[in-house]
Amino acid sequence: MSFRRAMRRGSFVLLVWAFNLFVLWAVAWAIFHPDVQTVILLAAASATVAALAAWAFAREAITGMTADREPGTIQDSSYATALAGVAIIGLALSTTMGPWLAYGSGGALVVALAGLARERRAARATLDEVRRADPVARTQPDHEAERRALEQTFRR
Amino acid sequence: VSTVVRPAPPRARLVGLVSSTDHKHVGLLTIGLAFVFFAVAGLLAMLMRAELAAPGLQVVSDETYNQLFTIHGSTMFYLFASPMAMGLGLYFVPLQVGAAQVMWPRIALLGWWLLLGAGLLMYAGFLVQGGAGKAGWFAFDPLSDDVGTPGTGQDLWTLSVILAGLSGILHAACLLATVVRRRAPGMTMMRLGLFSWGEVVATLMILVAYPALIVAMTLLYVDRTLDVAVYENPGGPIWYQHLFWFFGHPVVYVVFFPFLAVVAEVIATSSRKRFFGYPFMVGSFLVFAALSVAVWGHHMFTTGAVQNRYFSLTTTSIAVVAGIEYFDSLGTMWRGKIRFRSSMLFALGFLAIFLIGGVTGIFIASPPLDYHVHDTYFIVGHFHYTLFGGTVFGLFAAVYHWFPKVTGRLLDERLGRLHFGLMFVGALLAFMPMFLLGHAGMVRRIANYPAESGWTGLNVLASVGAYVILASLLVFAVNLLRSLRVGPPGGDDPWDGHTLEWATSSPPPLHNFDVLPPVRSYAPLMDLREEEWRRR
Repeated sequence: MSFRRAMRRGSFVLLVWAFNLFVLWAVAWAIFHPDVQTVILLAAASATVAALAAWAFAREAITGMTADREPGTIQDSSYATALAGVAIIGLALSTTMGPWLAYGSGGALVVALAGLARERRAARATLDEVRRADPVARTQPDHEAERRALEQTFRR
Repeated sequence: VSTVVRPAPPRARLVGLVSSTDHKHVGLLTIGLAFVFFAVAGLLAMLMRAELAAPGLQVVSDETYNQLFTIHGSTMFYLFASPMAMGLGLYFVPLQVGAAQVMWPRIALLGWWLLLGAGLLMYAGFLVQGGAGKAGWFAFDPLSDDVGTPGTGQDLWTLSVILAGLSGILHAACLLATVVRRRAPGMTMMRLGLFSWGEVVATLMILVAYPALIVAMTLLYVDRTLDVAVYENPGGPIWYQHLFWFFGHPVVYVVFFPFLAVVAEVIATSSRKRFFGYPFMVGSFLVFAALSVAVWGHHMFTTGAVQNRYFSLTTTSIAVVAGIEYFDSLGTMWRGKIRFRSSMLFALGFLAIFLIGGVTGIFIASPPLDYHVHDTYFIVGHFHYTLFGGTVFGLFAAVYHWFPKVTGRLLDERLGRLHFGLMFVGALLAFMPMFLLGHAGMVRRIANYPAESGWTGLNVLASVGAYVILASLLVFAVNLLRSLRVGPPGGDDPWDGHTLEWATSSPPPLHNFDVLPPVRSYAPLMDLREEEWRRR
């Protein structure tokens, strides 16, 4: 596969970036012999991005190069997430304000996590409902039909 | 694409907004919050410039001045610039890549809540005994430990920075995953809009650099509040500086790349041409971003604890890749039929102002010159040209460009030009004297200076410039409020845009697109228009 063709993939872009960082680390280590902190931080940066690239490669291998083709749900709100945010702020503040805030915030976080689990179940149930209603539902658009529709928009 | 819409239960508007997982709402909330912090940090800057307009202490005490510059810098970096870059990304990246939503929308919303918490904690410092954090936005140890800066204000500042860092990581993860996993069919990486590319490299830098900040700040917090001497060993302060600057320099580019990319899109759209040298621009983004992770040591030249030759080389190399970006932008304008709208004026202002910041950056990439101007107002001038040019001008280019997409209305062009003119003149007046002051020896972070130093005239000039910038922002506020109420309708695509966000309604629906055009290049809407022209 040519470099140009490979650059179409998100995972390959991450790999290229990890390689860039690796080169910078190698040049520093082999030629300039810097302090240990510089060597560790550059190596950690390169390794982090390489790990991200591995994750992206794995996802692409499982589900394809671009968008997930399976139908999904778009949820427009999450009270549980908002509560989780408040709880985390409370927990952070409790290290200065005292344990009383930690108890309250910890309780709120538990409630928020339960709420998130409930939202997840509801999303799955909705998706099952959609699949039952339209078994061949897919998100792959018909390019030609869409192009014609858009041209109509431009003409208007 | 079929969309089933299930009506949501009625709820209060504000509650609905702050619990919304629609990426456009989360993006707008983040942008709005960042603008609030920008305004507050700007007011702190006005207080500082009022104090510095004359020798002696007239407005604030030394102690208060320390808090002002600490919270000003911290707000601008942690609460304004970086969240603004992510907020714009949260709104526009899913639209540009043709996605129905952002990946992990709840995590994006959680990121906003953490940002709000970070802001509240940082400013809560003004309410506690001893005042807010006052060890600078960098909080070097041992200045920032419990002996150097005692008090709850500095504790709150440290917690606030940890929360802001976490918020940035969460937003970056959502954006990067959206680009990698949610692109529309046909949208390969080499067909991404430039803004999306800018966000990709910014998120990569965040995911690499922000963990270092969180580690540094968590250890600092432990050092301050528990009886554990984390940084008190002989190499401790140098370790802190390494960790901090490993975050602190990339963040300068985190708040630069998305805005550079907006400017590139504005230039291409306003020049009515495809962006010149797209693959080279993308390549320069990737190399520039990697280099910017390997330059942090130039902040530590004077410590003698880093390999100056390596960091000088990597820092100077940045000029080469930055040159490609300037060359491509100029190449796009070359023989274009340029429309000088407000967004284009801000894009040109971005190139001019950032150039001054960039060129002076090359000066201080040289250790001998850096030794001369280290910790002086020369550095303050340099980074204000870099950040004000690279972030604020780019931000307003984005605002004038995308306002019609977000609201369906146009901003007033005459007020926009006035806004640009005042801001451009203000930036030159405010920051240029700082180079001369720094060269003359005026050090940073002082509230007072001797009358016989000869610095008064240049300081007055800088203060006048700061107030001209304030005037320009008031003009913008008037324009914004007026246009939101009575601005003329902008339509779906008022500028003949190139990228996918212009293929949907203004504002876009919850699911973003009813139909997607075929994607055959990084300018799919231009492809369609060209096809139409050829057919005629």
